[in-house]
Amino acid sequence: MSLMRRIGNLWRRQQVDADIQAELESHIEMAVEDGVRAGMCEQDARREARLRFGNPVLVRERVVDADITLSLSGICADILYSLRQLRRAPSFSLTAILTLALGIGASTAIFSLVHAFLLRPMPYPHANRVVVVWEQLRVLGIDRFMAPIGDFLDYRNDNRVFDEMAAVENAHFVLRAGEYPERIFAVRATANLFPLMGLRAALGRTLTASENQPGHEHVAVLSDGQSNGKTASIMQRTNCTMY
Amino acid sequence: MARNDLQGSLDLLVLKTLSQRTKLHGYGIVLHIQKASDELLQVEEGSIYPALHRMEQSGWISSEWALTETNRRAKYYRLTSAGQKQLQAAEQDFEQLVKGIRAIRRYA
Repeated sequence: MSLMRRIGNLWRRQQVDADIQAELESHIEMAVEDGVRAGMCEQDARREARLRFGNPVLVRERVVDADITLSLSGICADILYSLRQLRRAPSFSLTAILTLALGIGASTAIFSLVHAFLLRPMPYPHANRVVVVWEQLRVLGIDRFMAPIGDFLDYRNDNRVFDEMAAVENAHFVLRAGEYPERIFAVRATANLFPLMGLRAALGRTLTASENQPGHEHVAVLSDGQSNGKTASIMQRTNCTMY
Repeated sequence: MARNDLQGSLDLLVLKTLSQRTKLHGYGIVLHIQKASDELLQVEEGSIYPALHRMEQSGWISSEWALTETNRRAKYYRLTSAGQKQLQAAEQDFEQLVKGIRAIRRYA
């Protein structure tokens, strides 16, 4: 308890100083009062009170010292004492340290998982309002079934629940732009995926609605997710022009 | 070996004074020590405050602002249970010191 007060005092210096000042002044005022009551005139009583009190500036500094030195030396003494106690009972200390280490380690590990999967927000604006809609295929017992494009178009036309709906599908493509073909991971998406997620292209542009039509030539947006070098080398090999 | 010095004696006087009252301000403690010792012990009045603050930091006494009989704001101190124990220890120390000095005086 007193340790908490000492630490607190370190930060509340100004208030403590004012408190000390008020305390010392009240002492002198009470002494003056008593002097006047005993028949002295106020001036004499005040002089007498000051004389008996001693140098008020010096007293105040010594009171402040008493507060500060104890606060610091007290904390040091507490730390030294605890270290001595730890050394005196090494097996207990070891048990305690191991217990703490395991506990902290386990908590940290669990928190890292929870943070990564549950707490950390997705890097999109209003990520808490983005949901993934799946179809169910009860006949085959499939809980998460990708909606065929026709179903998606119906959903989007009849949609009164969401601000916007976009279709996304994982895919793999073969990139034939260098000496060897290369397998790259990609996402097939409707053009409105980018505005829906609040994403803009760092270079060039994303897809337009006209490119979203059947029969239009294929357009790709390179992600920066893997590494800059890879993206840059793909751009170089495909001779792609930037908009 | 009993630890005793002037500071310890002042602590003893203050703790003893507070043990006889529920609460008292610094000025009151000074007056009480002077009166109870038949004016033999004159504490320089200001010097009581570093001691009071040191004892409060040690948790022997606690303080609160309150009004005096003449409606003046003053900081009142009261003995804590830790202070009670400290008082007993200080009294024992003092007895030891007195005994020790008496023994030496008889011997000399």
